[in-house]
Amino acid sequence: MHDAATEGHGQIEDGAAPPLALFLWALVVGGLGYGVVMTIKSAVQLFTG
Amino acid sequence: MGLSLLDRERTVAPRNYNRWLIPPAALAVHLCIGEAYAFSVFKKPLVAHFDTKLTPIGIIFSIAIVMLGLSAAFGGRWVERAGPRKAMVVAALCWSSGFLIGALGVATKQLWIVYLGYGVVGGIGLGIGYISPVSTLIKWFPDRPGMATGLAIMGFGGGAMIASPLTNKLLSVYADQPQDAIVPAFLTLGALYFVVMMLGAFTVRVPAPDWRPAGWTPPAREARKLVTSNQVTATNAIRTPPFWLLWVVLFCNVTAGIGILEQASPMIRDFFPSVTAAAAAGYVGLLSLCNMTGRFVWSSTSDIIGRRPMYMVYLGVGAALYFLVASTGTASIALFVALTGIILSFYGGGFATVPAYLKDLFGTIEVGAIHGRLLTAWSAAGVAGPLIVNGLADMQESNGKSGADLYTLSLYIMVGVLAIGFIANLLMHAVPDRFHEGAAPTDTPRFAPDGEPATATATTMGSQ
Repeated sequence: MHDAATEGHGQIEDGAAPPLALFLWALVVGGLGYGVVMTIKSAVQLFTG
Repeated sequence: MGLSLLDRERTVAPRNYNRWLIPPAALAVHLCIGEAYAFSVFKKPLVAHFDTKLTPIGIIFSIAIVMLGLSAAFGGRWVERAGPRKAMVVAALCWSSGFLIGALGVATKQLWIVYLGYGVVGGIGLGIGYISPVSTLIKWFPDRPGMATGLAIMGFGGGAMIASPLTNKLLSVYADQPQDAIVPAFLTLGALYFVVMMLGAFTVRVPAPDWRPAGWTPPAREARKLVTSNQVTATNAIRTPPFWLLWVVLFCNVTAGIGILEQASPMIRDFFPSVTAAAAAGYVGLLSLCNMTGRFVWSSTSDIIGRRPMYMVYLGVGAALYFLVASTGTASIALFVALTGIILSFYGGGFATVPAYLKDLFGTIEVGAIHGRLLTAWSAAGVAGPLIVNGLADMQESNGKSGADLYTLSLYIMVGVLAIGFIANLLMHAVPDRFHEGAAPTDTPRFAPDGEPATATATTMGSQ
């Protein structure tokens, strides 16, 4: 079975994915960063009363 | 064009594609569906809105978790066949529809519509979304499967840390009273999660069947006894003792962890009466952070030390930590937080390491489907863990006990539960030869892109 798809050529939009993937990296890292900061801010109360 | 854009063959990456562009797609999906762990933020507003008690509202989450297990178990083979993009789109549609239908139920004050929406439809999105990137990541990172799946499943732990403050913000922005802000908050979250999950769906790629990371070749003979070069289908996998041993391992690890996670806030206040409600909420957040971090750190560590030794740590060291919490937990807040934090990191690590353990035992052809079936252990543990901790706490209270004494017995029982899991892990062995597929020693997919079963191409290697 040697069609273009199984060889990994031709049937996808080369060049379209990387900018989207990089944006998504930034989005998920930003989201996780927001979650971690908010969690730590809330957890500080545990030790400061 | 049209829906064919979602087909597996349309997602095959070029040979020189950078595999590090795949994890954010998986993370995007898991961060969104991880909101489920923060659903408790809606509890009080929903109780006030429907003028009911906590139990009917708690059923929404229970239905969602049961549907997660069922859809992962029954949808696993479809996910393998359809490919990650189509699966992620279906997950996005179900998850966001769950919020939309839920909003309708809240607006019309029909609780059963919320059960149907967030619980049933959203729960299907949870299950399909949870398993959708797993086998794809394992195929992209055959040299570091634990790290790859740990990275994705870390998102499920992290999703609650984002959703919890975000939901609180939405509930305070949309109305003066939180119960009046549920509908717009549901609609906002549904729309937001749909967009982010669709971004993930259109970013994900599968590698060509014979693709290998540059400079990496599969070892001719695996160095570890439990790591196979053979392939086992989902149908055959559930007929093997190793599948059920791993089911017991996951069940025990999750039962122990979820018992603390579900009861964390009242537990710390019973151990230390000086802890305020706000500080207890901070403690719950800290446990979520440990849960999330453990998913990545411990799962990555399993690539180095092996899966069985890693679970010996989760279950063996975990049992010792539970014993310490039961015997010395009241000594200081810092000690209590440190011990339970490590326990929760093992809980998260157990979830994240299991796909790589399955890959070691059963190969890759239907690892997503096998993973889906194994997640029924999660559903069962979700019932057993809270039942043990809450039930025994109620019993102790009726016997006149209070404070930390409410939990001592259940903590010792958890030591026993973890010991059972430890023994099951010790008994783990390679899958018998008779369950192996004819001859497919590497990552050859069971289903070729046209949906036909892949033909066998190489000789069978006996289990090591």
